[in-house]
Amino acid sequence: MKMANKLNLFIIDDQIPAIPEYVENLVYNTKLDAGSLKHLLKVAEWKGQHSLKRLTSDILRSDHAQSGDLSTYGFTHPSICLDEIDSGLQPDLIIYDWEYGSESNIESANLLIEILNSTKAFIFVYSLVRNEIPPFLNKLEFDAFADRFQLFLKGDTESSIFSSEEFILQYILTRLSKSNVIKIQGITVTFNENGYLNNPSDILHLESIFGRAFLLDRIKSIGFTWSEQNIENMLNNLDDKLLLDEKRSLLITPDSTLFISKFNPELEISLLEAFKRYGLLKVREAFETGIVKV
Amino acid sequence: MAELTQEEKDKIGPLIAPFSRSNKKPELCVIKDGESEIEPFINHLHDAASDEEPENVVHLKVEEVETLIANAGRFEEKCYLWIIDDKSIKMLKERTRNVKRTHKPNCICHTNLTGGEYARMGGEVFFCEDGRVFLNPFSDRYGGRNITDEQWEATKDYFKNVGYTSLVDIIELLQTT
Repeated sequence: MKMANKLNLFIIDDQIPAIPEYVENLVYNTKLDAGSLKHLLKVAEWKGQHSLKRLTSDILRSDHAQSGDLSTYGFTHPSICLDEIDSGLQPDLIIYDWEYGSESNIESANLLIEILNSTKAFIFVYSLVRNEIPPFLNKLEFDAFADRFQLFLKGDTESSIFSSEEFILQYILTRLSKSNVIKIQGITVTFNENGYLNNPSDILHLESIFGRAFLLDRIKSIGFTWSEQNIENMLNNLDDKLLLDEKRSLLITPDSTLFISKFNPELEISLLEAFKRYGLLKVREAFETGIVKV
Repeated sequence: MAELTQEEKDKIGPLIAPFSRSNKKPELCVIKDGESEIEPFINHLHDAASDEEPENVVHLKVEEVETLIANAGRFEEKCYLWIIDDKSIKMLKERTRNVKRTHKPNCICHTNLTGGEYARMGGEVFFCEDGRVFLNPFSDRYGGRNITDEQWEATKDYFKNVGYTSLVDIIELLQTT
């Protein structure tokens, strides 16, 4: 089901490739529209920027971009983006590369603060030097914006079931619609609205319960579609049980010997039953600490 | 000073590596990016051997105690994570920004208190404005889902020795509600 909203996405990155015809025509001095970005994807060499290229390509090829619900603009420097914002084009989401040639981390931080102050956009701080950045973003001046940015390592496929680019892509698409074609470790997966997961990022909660290897295996076996029936089948095939202290409404994992000795839960319920009754977040919390109030 | 005595160490249990008490699958017992950094937080780390409440403590309001119980002892906004290392109790507010932790950048975790190193025990603590200190052993890295009653009692005794005399055991509280 599609929501009736439209989004502007800015990609700010000096590694968007420069081609002579655009340099000569001063195209890089202003915003690059989707047509220009598509042309660059086709003809330019994205040296050492395959992750950025793939992300840009996936965004522009998405149904939302094709339908006009998602408008994407590229910028090769934050100052160009700020000029565009001054002229009235407001972004909803920004992919913000951190490093710009010889500019310092302090300059990058200042530009980011300026963008945060000038917009209400959510910003993916996206960088190859991710590990150098935390000391600058952990500063007090970013406190007021803590919920509006998130730091990603370019090309990171190890930190979670989603690569950095897949996470960014599915976040953008989910802002427009809950049902989407998303990517998980390069596999194209259809996410349908269902009673178990609210949106694709809830897959991260499943990952924290079952682990990445298990989920990847299941993604293949459930036919690459996250539908209600497929999720139910997946949960049904698991042997995991949870214990329920009905009197105190506590859900306890079977390995929680301290809590079992204290509460003596008498009922055993299947994982599917727990998901159905209490939802994903409660089950995740139970697995995290061993006990949760339901 | 209430540095751990040898007797307290023996009762609370040995120093353990993160997750080594966990029954989770090995692939879930991994310290992710940003979860073992201690350096960004070292100046804010509260060493409870020398003081009673962390600096600028965010108190749990009396009326929020009900919410704490209703959530089985969880309340992220007012939560302080604690660990007991080889010497004393260390604490830090859970809602401390940790941008390198990509998928939960607004919070630290227990291994941020140890730099990913060993600890004897871990959990969560809440400082109520009326002086009560609510304690649980909820930590999947160092904590207590499968510790013994004796270890938990020894942990609480140590907190009391340090000065937290108005200690409330969240597990006991849940038993009576």
